[in-house]
Amino acid sequence: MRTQGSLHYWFYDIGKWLGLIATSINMALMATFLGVLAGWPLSFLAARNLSPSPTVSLVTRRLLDLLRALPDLVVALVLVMALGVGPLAGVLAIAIHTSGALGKLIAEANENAPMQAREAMIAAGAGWVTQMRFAIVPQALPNVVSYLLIRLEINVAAAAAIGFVGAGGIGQEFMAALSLGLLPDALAILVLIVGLIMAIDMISQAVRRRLSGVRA
Amino acid sequence: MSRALSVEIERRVWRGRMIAMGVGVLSAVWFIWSAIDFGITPQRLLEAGERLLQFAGAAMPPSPGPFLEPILLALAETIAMAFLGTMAAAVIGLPLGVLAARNVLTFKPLHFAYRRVLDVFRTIPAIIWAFIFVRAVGLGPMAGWLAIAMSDFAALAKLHGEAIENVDGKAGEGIRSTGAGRVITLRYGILPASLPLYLAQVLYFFESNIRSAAILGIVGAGGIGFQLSERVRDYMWDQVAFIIILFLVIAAVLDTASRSLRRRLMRGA
Repeated sequence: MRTQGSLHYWFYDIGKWLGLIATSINMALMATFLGVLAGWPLSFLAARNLSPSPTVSLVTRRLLDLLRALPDLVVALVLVMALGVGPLAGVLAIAIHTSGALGKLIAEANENAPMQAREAMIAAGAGWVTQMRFAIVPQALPNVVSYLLIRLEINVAAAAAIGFVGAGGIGQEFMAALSLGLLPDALAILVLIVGLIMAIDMISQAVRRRLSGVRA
Repeated sequence: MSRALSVEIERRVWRGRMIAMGVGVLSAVWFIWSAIDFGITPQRLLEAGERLLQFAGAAMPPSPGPFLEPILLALAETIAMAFLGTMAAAVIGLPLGVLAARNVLTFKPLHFAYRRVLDVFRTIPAIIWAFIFVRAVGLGPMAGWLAIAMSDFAALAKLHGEAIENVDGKAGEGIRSTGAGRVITLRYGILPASLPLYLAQVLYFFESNIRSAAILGIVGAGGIGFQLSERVRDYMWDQVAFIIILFLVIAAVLDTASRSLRRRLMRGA
């Protein structure tokens, strides 16, 4: 028996909700992965000093701006109409925004990489892809990793919220509870979402502190 | 090169390859499992692609239909929500930020506890506040600006606290030496130096809030997002496209405007 008014009573469906929190985190991982998959290659085309031609660079940068400017919730709203309710729409919506945001940041990291290694490879007759892979990627990698971690943190919060338009995860369960008028359930889920966001915030702060070598 | 060394190098290269392969296999398993969990099938993606093409066809040419005026009004409402929300957050954050400074609230445990309370408010995103306020005050822009104020006041307080900590203490010391009390010292010794920094942060928050205010409407908190979500649900794709393009133009204008404003402010400083 569950005593009415107890935490046990309030969070009666905690198993299912924690499962949905895991889904939301997985959505964020998947979206970050897909976003990097699209954004990283584009970053080489966008970098002003690396791009095969100024036109390609300009077009790619505008494309990244466009991907970045679209709010993920708006994209999810449209994708839910096309893909149906569920996490896939949320993953794709966040991935689209991520590819634009990461593409721009990585492009700047690429631009700032020292060029000596690349000049040596050009002198040795290496092709463009080889130059990028062995001269630019290793030098930009530390920046890329830190951008990736920050994005992942942002995306976990985004994945929790994106369910509000029916795009899967814990947010969708929140909306369902709200529309059924189950206010205690909705509040319990809200507490879990806020807890998730705060936990991720603290973890990423700790990771960042360790990576930057600052002891505090 | 000695034989032992080359064997050692070969072993390390081999081990590196094994680790890379292990990570690769694990990520592949994770990816496939997630794809199944999320219900991603080629057929579903194809169907969705077809539907998206239909939507895109229906969206051409983008037009506001007979609703140009309500849409523009909603846009103005969004900007007003962002303005009011940022101003409210700035007014609340100013005194709370004074308390957040380590050199003002000198009792360490209290300072620590106070900062953690601000952290709690800071981490809750505006869209969750929007939900709560839509329930509390009903649909409309009121819920929107309250949500923005709630999600930003703590962040602004924290930034103001940090600005005060970084103010050069000499002016304050001088005023103290004339026998002035704490309030007078704060007013004439510290705030004149911290307020310009605070104002710059508030401006920056205002800009980013115009963007986030556009989203809050999707959960019912008024403005352009509300118009957008209604039209998506009614399949009025030409109007959806019009609103999205309008939003993109506004975002681009904001970007350029704030960049040039910031450049001018920096030159003035």
